Amino acid sequence: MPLIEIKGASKGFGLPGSRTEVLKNINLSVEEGEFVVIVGYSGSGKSTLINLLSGLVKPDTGMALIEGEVITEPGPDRGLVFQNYSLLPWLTVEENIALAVDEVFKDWTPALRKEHIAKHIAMVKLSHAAHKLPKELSGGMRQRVSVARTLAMNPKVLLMDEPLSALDALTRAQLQDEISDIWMQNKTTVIWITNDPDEAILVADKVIPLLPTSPATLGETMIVDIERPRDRKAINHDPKFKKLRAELISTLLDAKGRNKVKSSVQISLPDILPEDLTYTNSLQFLNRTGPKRRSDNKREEVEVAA
Amino acid sequence: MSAILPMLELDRLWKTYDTPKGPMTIVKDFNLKLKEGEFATLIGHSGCGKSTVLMMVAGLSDPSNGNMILAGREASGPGPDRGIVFQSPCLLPWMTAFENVMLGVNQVYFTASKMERRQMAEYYLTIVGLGDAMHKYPGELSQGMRQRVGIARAFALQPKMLLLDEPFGMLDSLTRYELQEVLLELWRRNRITTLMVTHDVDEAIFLSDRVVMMTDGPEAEVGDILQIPFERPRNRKQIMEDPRYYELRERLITFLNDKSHIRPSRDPKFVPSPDMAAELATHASPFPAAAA
Repeated sequence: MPLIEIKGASKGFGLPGSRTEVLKNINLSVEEGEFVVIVGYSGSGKSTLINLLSGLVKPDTGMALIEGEVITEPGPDRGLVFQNYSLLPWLTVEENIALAVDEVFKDWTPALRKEHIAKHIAMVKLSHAAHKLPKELSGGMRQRVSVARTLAMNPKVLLMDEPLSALDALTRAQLQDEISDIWMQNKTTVIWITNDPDEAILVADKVIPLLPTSPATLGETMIVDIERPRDRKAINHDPKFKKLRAELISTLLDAKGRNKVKSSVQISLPDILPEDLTYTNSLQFLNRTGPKRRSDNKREEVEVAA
Repeated sequence: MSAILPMLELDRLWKTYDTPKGPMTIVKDFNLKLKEGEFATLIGHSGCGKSTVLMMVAGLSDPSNGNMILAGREASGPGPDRGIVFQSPCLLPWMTAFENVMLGVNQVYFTASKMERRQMAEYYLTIVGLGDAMHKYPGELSQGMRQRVGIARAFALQPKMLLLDEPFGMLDSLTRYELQEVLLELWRRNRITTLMVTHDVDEAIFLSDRVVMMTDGPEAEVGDILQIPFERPRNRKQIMEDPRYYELRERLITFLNDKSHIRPSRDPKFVPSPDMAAELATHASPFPAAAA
């Protein structure tokens, strides 16, 4: 039985009449221990999809299931990581994580909880910053806290909604590697949403494109059969990587192209040339009425040739 | 104008800033010639001076030394003959997309009729895919759509040169791919000589005819040049499946990772690549500092 799945789900927003259908006939099934990445354009419904799994949004039709049970509300068995970190600004790193741990593991002794928290802070390499406030941390460090907080709840599945989109390219690359390493150690089931095809192939076992049809549908699953740990430089030479990358990018771009409404409009491009404003002594426009035209140029050329 | 003259000639361009610790030379003896209708890309590490070169060509920053010749004339100061697209589109928020484009159009086509000027702006906005959204305000447009307005605004002026300063740097990768296609579509219709700055290797290969690699700063110069052999119009899928694509990519990445510290003018053992040699041959004294 798959750990978490979506069966025939559709979702739309808005009142009848001005309603936008976002997702249509979504079927997704993720086994325990899998690392699945869903890639799609901004605004194509990726977050709605992950909100169906987290229980923040209920589908109009179909259902989302975890271990065979219908998902009706958020719960600690599904850990969420958001793009904007969502840390409490007045709590230190340790306290932010303690908030989740104390809530989920009420029956543990305080000592055990403390050890659990320290272990997760060490896992994301923030032991030196455990007593700092979020505002004293860089974006990358904040997102690490968010990942540690979520993992500390021992969730059955980790749902990541564009976790690295707000970070610069270097930090992004670093965190991709770190999260892959953590995943190799504990093999938590991960569903990760991104708009970066390279990121998807680098971290995932399975990549699923979210096609920007209107409403959006899931494309065919692509299996990433590249050994871990993956080296981001060496992977560029891997023929499997090249093939997957070309396939994924063209699938997404083609879907976008097909989705465009092809309407022919009549537009005309006037045959005018710009006036030379850079040099104050070029006042040729005083000797003619109207703008320079390309056809005038052609006439001139003919004269020169004769 | 003779066809042999380059559209843009940068001859021993220097840029020096005064700092509390004394003068700091960012760009030194930068030599480059662009043919009319060529799409060239400057690539290099952050802070190496790529944008400094571009801003000097734009006229927004004066060179400390050296010559800059645009279409046979010494260029100084900014002007509508050079269209610029910045990383963020810099639209006036109280004007619609159409009005933003009209701002420049009204200036350079002031001798044309009102009707023709309108058509001009409408044409370019339609080609970039904003046919239905041209009367929206920047606040109502997504980041990608705003950048489309920026591109339309630059092309509508039919400048002699187009200067692009990391035009897609702020966009996510899929939107970036889309906008690269938009840019190529416009460029296919009007092959304006273009100089682009980027640090995205794939973007450089997909868009340009020549990639100019810059050495690390300070005192940055041209480190190597790579001609991109793909025919136009280009198809991303075909290019990505072409074995040459990964060779070119490899060469650029190798330069950026291992060779960007080598300054050709000061390294006696420097052996130019064929593309670099072709460029050097067009300059009378490519390495004046070494000769002196």
